[in-house]
Amino acid sequence: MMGSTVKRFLTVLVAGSLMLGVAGCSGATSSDAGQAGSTTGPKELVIAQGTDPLTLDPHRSTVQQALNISMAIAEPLFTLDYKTGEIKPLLGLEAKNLDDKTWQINLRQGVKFTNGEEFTADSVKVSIERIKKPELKSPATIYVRPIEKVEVVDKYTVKLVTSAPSPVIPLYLTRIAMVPPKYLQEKGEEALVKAPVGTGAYKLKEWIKDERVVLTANPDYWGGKPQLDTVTFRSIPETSTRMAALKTGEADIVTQVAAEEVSALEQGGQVKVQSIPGLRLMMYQFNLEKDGPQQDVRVRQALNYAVDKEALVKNILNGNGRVLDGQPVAKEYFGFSDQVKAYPFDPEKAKQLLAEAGYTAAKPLAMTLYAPQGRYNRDKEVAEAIGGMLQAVGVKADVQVMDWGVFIQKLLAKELAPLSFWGASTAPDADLWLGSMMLSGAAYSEWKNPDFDKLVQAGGQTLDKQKRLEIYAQAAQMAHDQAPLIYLYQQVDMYGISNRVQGYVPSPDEGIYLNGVTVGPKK
Amino acid sequence: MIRYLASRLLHGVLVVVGVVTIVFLLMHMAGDPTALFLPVGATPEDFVRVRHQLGLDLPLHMQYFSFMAGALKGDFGSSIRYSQPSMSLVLERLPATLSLTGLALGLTVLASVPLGVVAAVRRNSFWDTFCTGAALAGQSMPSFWLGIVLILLFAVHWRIFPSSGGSGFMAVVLPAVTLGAYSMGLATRMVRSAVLEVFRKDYVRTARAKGLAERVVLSRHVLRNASIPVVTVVGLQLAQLLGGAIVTEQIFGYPGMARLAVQSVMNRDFPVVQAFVVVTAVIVLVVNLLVDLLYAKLDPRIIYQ
Repeated sequence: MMGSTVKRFLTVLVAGSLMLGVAGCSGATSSDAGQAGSTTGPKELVIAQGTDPLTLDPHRSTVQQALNISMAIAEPLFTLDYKTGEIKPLLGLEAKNLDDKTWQINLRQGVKFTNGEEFTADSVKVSIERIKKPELKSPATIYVRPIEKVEVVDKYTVKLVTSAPSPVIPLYLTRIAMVPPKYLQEKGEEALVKAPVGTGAYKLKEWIKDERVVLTANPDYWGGKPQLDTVTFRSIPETSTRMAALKTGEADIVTQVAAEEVSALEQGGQVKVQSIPGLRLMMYQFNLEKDGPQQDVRVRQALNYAVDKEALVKNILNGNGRVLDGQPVAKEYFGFSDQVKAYPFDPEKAKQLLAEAGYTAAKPLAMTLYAPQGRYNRDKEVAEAIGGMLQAVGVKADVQVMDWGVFIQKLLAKELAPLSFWGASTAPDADLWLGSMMLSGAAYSEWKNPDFDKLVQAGGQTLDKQKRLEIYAQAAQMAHDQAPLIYLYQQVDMYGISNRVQGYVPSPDEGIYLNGVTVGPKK
Repeated sequence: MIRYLASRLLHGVLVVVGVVTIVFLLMHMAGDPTALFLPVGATPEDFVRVRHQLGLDLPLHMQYFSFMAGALKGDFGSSIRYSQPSMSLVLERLPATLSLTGLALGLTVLASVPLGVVAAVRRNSFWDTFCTGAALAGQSMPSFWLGIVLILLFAVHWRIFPSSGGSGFMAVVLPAVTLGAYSMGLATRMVRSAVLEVFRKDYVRTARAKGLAERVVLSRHVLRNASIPVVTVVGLQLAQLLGGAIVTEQIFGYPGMARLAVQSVMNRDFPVVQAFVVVTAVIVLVVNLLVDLLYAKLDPRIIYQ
């Protein structure tokens, strides 16, 4: 009896696994899946990202994954060297201040768009003014907002007049791609969405929606013939499938490697994983526009002491994070202060501050912690761990997790109180970060502090670098002491890279910059 | 017959309107797309401006009526994220989804009919256990798991199929198997029980009694009569497959309309979701109608009036 049951069970098991096999083989007609290797031939690089671009018009998106493609085609005036923090020339040679509100930019001469049009001062004027057009509904308006007027001085010189002194103009110009005016005039504003044209090292060959965008080298590139013949950007949303594409050789670089995948990827020695701290900074934000215990600075400081940031990074993020230095921005941002240090993990100090604020075991502090799910790396787990850490110092912490779409709507309506968890990244300058996240009345800010606002505004309008740094150092100290945020960590981004790729350097802004990248033969 | 068709079509239109209305309300309750659309650094004024541009500052009933008025003219609005007509975004991805679900449905029929018949004919034998076991396995494996296992085996290990994408026939095979596994299982069990049911009928006994070969009994008398419940199930499975495509397309990075729908739901891109729902509802209604018409072909006793 027993034997027959086991037999029956085994038969079912075998049948099940055979079905997998039979079904899987049923469609196999040709021999290979198109990954036949070659030792010579064209140099082809395949990059797999999580999303397909919504548009290839570089002015209609601020999503980095889309810009990685559209800005390989259309270049900006300048580029940011993250290693040194310097702004380097690209289509613009130099930006200098004629006075507090005027930037003069000398342009590279003899550069042509891939449609044959020459790149001139007029291209700069049209590109910047285009982003401002309301009908374009461009999310990139944040980068052109300080610019009041663009004046063409001569064919290769433009003047940008700003409404107030604006030190961030060169940085913002690294985010604005130059587009061809005549092309737009002839083909219309919509042409760039599907058929972008720029001065860049690559031009569009084909775009199969939601599957791949193929770029080919621009042989007439002003910087010399590009090292790669084709670059394909594939979109594979599922992480494990993206990793599989790297293992099979269908992709050479994959983004957003999950920590638990690293050892499996590196097994066999064909792939290495590189990581880099990104610009995304993770915080818990106190809603100070609403009444409640969070209005007491001792409570806010206590909670900063109560969270063990190192443990979060080590245990929940598997080491893929860097603890923030007790201030809003990280090292990669201009305006970071090395004078300000992280709140140490000190539960006793936290308990003491809470007691001073009038919260005891008999009358504990109750706090609701809101967090999104599925938006950031291990967001729900981090939120729950922090809930546990707060409970350990006697806070009655209630963690509420919600879908990102609902969360962000409530966050912007400033309904999430007293605490909400998010991560923000901006162009790496304190002006933009503090201005969007902490300035009174800004879309994401839930803090109103006139003294702090004055510092942010002063920093945003001071052209002298040293003076700006001093102002931001004061702002960082104030933000540390007043603790309108629980400063947590910055996310670390991981990339899986095939051994045949040489010269690829991950960037903190999730950007994929192809300059200097080349590939060896396929194995 | 024509009256029947007309009433079915009218009924279909009402169903589509109802479905679209429900989805419209649910989507608008679920969140605000501007929050997901604008970058960090946008000012509160930007939000007001964009909401106005998208017509989201109008009262809900006004938005609904303007959407319905547009939809009647074939204009389903412009996608919030893509700034392109939402229906054309869906339709340009429809062929990919149709080839995926079509192949899955084809595999369902190809696998389930022989397996189900063998199981029924050799009832309680090893083959019966084997076929029902396979069916059960197909039904009980979640598609996200099966998809990843298939990728690991057939793409990473054996390198027979590409791991993802949608270029060419080879790229459709693994997604179609993943998508069809549940339906194959269900249809196999259905075929088995339908065949067993018919085996018990008097006319089958009569056919055997007059000395027909078992093969002839099976092909001429049993299969045709067993086909009605099977056609019903397979027809219904199409709706199931279109729904299942949402997971499958995501796993395999397959460029179909279901993946577009997932992204649009996550980003509250209402017009695209609505266009997707309309297309899906129309497909399901048309297939149901075809199934009903097929009944009459299979069983002459069924006449539509």
